[in-house]
Amino acid sequence: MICSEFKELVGAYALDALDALERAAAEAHLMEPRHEGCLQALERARAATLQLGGAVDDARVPAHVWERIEMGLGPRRKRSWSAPAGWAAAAVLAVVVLLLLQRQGRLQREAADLRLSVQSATSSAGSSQELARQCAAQLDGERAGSAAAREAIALLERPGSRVVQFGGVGGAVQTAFAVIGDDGKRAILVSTTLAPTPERDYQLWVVPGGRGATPIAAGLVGAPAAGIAVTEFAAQALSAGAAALAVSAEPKGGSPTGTPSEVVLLAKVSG
Amino acid sequence: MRTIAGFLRATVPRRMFAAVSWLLLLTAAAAFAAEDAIARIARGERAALRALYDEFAGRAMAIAGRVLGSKAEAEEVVQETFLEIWRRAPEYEKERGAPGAWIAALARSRAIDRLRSRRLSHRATQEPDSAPRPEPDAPALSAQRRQERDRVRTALQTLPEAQRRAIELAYLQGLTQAEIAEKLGEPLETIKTRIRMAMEQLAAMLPETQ
Repeated sequence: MICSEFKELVGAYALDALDALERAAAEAHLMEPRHEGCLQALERARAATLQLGGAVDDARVPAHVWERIEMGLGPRRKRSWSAPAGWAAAAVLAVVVLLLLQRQGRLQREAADLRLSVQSATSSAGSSQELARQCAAQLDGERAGSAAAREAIALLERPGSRVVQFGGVGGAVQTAFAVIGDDGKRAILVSTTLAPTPERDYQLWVVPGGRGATPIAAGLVGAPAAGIAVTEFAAQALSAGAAALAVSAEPKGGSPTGTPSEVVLLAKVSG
Repeated sequence: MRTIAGFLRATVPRRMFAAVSWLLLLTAAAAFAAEDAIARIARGERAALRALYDEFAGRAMAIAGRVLGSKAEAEEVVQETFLEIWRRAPEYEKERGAPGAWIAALARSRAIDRLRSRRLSHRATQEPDSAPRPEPDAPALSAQRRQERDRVRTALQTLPEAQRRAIELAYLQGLTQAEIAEKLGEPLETIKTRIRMAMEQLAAMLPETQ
């Protein structure tokens, strides 16, 4: 997505009126380091959206709603700063805050790395050598035990194949690569962080080129073997080519609507 | 302030000048009081949360009710919203919007999440109970609140009917552009254009410094 495209949909983005894939693409665009008026346009749209609620007449709220809020706040606690227990609690809190700050710093560094990774994934093929090295390193340990890992390595080793790295969307912490064959008709997802749960599946999507293209479902991410998930995108989804690949979080069994519910990973497939 | 006063003196008849000045002072005072309440909530003062609740729960209830079409669910959203305010008060930044707008945005966001979750799990077939409707005995609005409401409604009235309808469906029913197009039987690109133009006009009429 380029800046002019983002500014066309910024109003809908501020209203939360984009579909999942458009929203993911907009958020991925916002992660890019340079913009031409995008952030200012977003602030204006958000400011207008914030104020729309003022047009609605207030409604009467039953008394029990506040009673439930009070219950949710928990019992009032007397503060006794002179008590030893109070000082001990303060010390524990200080340690927790310090750990959280360290974690925040680490997450911020990871987010910065991810932004750089998304940026690097859209650049020329020469830089994909480093991505290929990273991807191969993840696969190499599983080569012996997993047929899927062997397939991915075989695809990676073919001349003309390349690797793209997914960028996290909306604060998602999952990461993944995709190995793409030279003709663009095969793509294999490699991830150490995606894992289906009893309630949730991760679903693969292929986004064809052209404005308004509808994402095509391309299968569910398989259960990881020894901590690494390797899943091939459905061949028929790739038959018309891909402008982007996406991974969404879905209820068990996949999207009930045929469109991505919550996009967590997005990779632009450079041509 | 002197520039504003000079402008008012030059353009507003003397008898109205005092009323307009008083209204502006009330607006500023109300915003300041709400921001102070949020700062006190961040320090753990429950009384401040109650004060903010008394001021803005009605708005949160109205928005949640319009989005969800269910009074019971709207009550739950109001409850969750103010518990979230209790937790997130330290994150509030007045530069991002007035307290009432912030609270309305939190309530709308929670309501839309519920609505979309309901749709995903196919519980949309459940008939909602009575939604909060404009009541003859609805709580009286403060002067500041009436001014805010009228200002935003005036801005919405400047939009062509088709654009205003698209904005209402997006804001109050949580519909995506594609869902609006399907609901209205209009092409998607038409809806996208309407929303884009409407939001550009609203952004010009409802600037950030309110």
